[in-house]
Amino acid sequence: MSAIFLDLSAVTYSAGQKHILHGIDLTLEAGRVYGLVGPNGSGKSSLMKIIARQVAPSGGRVELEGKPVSEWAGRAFARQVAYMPQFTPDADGMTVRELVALGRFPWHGTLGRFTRTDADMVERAIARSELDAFANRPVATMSGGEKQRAWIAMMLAQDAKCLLLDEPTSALDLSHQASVLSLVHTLSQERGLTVVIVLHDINLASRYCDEIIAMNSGRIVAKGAPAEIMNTGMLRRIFGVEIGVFSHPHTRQPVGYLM
Amino acid sequence: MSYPARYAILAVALLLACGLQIHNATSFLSFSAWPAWPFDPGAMNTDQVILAYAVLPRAVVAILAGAALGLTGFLFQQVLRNPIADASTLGISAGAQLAIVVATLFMPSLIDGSREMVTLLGAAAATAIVFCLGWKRNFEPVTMIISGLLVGITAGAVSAALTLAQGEYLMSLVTWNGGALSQQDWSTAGRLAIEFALALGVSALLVRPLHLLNLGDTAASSLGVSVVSIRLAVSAIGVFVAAGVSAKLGMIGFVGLAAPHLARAVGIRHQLPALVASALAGALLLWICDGVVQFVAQTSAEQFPTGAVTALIGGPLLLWLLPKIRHAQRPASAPPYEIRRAPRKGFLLLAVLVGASIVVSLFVGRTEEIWRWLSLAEFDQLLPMRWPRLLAACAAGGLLALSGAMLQRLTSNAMASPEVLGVSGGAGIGFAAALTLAASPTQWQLLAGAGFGAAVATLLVLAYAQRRHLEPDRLLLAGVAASSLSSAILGALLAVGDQRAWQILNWLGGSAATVTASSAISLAALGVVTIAIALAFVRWLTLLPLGYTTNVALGMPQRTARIGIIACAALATGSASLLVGPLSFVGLMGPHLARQAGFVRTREHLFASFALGAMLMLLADFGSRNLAFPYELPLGLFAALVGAPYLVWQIGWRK
Repeated sequence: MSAIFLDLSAVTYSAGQKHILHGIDLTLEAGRVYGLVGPNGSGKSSLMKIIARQVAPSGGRVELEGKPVSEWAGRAFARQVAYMPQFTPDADGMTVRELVALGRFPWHGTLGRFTRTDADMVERAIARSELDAFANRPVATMSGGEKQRAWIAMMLAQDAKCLLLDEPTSALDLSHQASVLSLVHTLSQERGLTVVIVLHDINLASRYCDEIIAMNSGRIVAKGAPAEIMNTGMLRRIFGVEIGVFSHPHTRQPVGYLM
Repeated sequence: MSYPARYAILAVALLLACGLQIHNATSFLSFSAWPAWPFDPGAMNTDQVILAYAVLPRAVVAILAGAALGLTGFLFQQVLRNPIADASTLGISAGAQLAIVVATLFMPSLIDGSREMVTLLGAAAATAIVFCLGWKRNFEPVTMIISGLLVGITAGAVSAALTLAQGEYLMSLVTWNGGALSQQDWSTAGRLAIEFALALGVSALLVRPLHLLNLGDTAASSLGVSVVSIRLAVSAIGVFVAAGVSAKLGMIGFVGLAAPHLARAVGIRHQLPALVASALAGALLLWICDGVVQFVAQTSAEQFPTGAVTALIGGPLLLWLLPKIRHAQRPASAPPYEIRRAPRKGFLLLAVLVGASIVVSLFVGRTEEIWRWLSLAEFDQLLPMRWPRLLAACAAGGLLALSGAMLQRLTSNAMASPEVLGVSGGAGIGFAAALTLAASPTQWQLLAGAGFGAAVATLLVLAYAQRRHLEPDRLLLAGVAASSLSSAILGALLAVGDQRAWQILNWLGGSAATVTASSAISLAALGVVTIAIALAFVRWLTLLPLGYTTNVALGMPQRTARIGIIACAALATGSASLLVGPLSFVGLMGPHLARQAGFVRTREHLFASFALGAMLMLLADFGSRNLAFPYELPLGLFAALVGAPYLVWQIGWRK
């Protein structure tokens, strides 16, 4: 068992009168890919935002490497955790290389020099995301899948230990979904990154994640390896519909289908 | 809110209005001496005639006009799905005012017979422009309001310039602009009643499709609503009523803005009741305001026009309403287009252009009808007078454009500009306060007043910006509120019509003529310092357009960045507006042109904005000195007049 990277205990979150998260306890280990699944409104995105420190929880404790996240300084936290929101903003007038270079901000800060190392990290991130051909293209002219890759490259340049991706594949077609997720999966193995991905498709989650965290109505209802989650009883508890499971003819992985 | 509470509030408001009315009327003429109904002027004494044909119709006019304005506010807020839409925030009243000014000057015969027609034309033209600007962006609320503000500012600038040029004739007009309700007979009341009844009837018929517009254009049209024609029809009614009130009474701001919210605050949600309640709320509001104005006039000597008083409610009201604006849904991202990036040579070209405008400004002169280069001897003579002004104009233009560029990046809204920040508005309020408080204020007292006002406005905007989850659009709207409040106060003082009015008009135009060598040098020094600060902020300014989420994810200090940049922009704007007055569009045009020219990278954008702003202001200065030679036009007004059409074209018609 590897080291505990992130630890949440009794985390609650409410917006006005509405309670969105009811006491989340969750431990994430370093170097694993977690898939966060659950029906709409189950609190997946809120949980992600709390982990990413985008919003403060209403109650409970969130610790990163044993230290409460609220005590981390802004840039120090960004060197640990990189977050990609569900809707990435328009990078108005920027080229891919300029966008990726923004990922170095947590390292060089407001007035620091943009060093050789910074430049190298940018080039490596571009190469790793197979964006060399696009490096000087304006981000605005790229397709959805390419844009998504550019943002992932920016997260790579950020060189954080943890990537948080909120529905990175929702706007992509099947082949781009697969290419983005397999890139993330390989990166996690190469660099020992901790990754949390919010996904809608339970099959994609089981295919590319080491572990699945299932949520429903603001609670975690199951957490375990894909093989433990992918059975009719468990899926009924999570999604409230009957989902059958069969073995993938080639990989032998479990595949769910709506009954 | 429960029904009893609702009626209790209504009863209290009615009691207050009636109480004020009865107090004002009976203190003028005791009740036992009132004339008998029906009125017969032949059998009355003077006081009775005044009561029957001035005091009583005034009350009826207040009620009817208030109801009409409440109705227009409701219609515009519904049709644009925008909680702060109103004839005053959309620039419609300013358009009507400009039409009256123009007609008075150039076609005085028109005004006599068809004052209503003239205001209607002006109001319709202003509305058409604002709607055209908003059309491309799906009538997105923030864009609409900023377009309205820009159109309003421009119309106001033209009116002010005309008034300055032809002052003697137009001072009475300025008084009309303040929205005076005094009456001499029942004719106005009668016409208002007919117009209001007509508009109420037609809008009641349109309530159902209007309700469906709440779903958004796509959904509404898929339910079979002809979105465009409903929008046109409802807006036409709104413009008709607003122009009618404008023609008879002048500018009565913000009643239409407040009324629908008062109706909603007591818990009325359905369309038809809300429509009626808005009219009712408007009627009560204006009636009470007018009662207070008359009450104050009886107890003290000062008589303010009622419109000026209602305008004072506007600023705070807007601020209170801001949280109600739905987060602006940005329209689906524009079709990608490749921005032509300027090569390094671009800066060389820019330097040449700026240099050329400096040379032209310094060496070209005009005598009578001839433009010519100055001889060296003449140049020697003129230089000591010309260089401070040129330097100051350069620095002011550069500072405004640089603040504009910083604010546009901070708010990720291309419509942000120093005018919209509210700092110059604050300076205007401070200026007005100094004018009112000191018996005969010196130049320094006025300057100190303006500086103090700008500082207070900046602090308020900063305090607002402190809030963690502030959407940048809200910041813009807070600035809009401050600007509106400022123009309302200045308008109220203008409307009083004594010699203070002239000082205000001069302040609005900018005081470039009074520049001294030392003030020019300090402004230039400030320019250099501001550039240095902006360059230190360059990484923040690159990240800020990507929005809050990305900034937090990258560990950027949000609050520090926001406060630092706003403070810097406010200082720059405040100092520059002392020279060019509170309005010029250089702060909006400079950054725009810089982007168009391909200076997209942050550092280049900041530099190019400064240079282009300086150049624009130089050219505006050149034009303002020479165009009406030997007379001099106010620098700020001239810049605004040249800039406005460019912006309208940019926002509305560019592909």
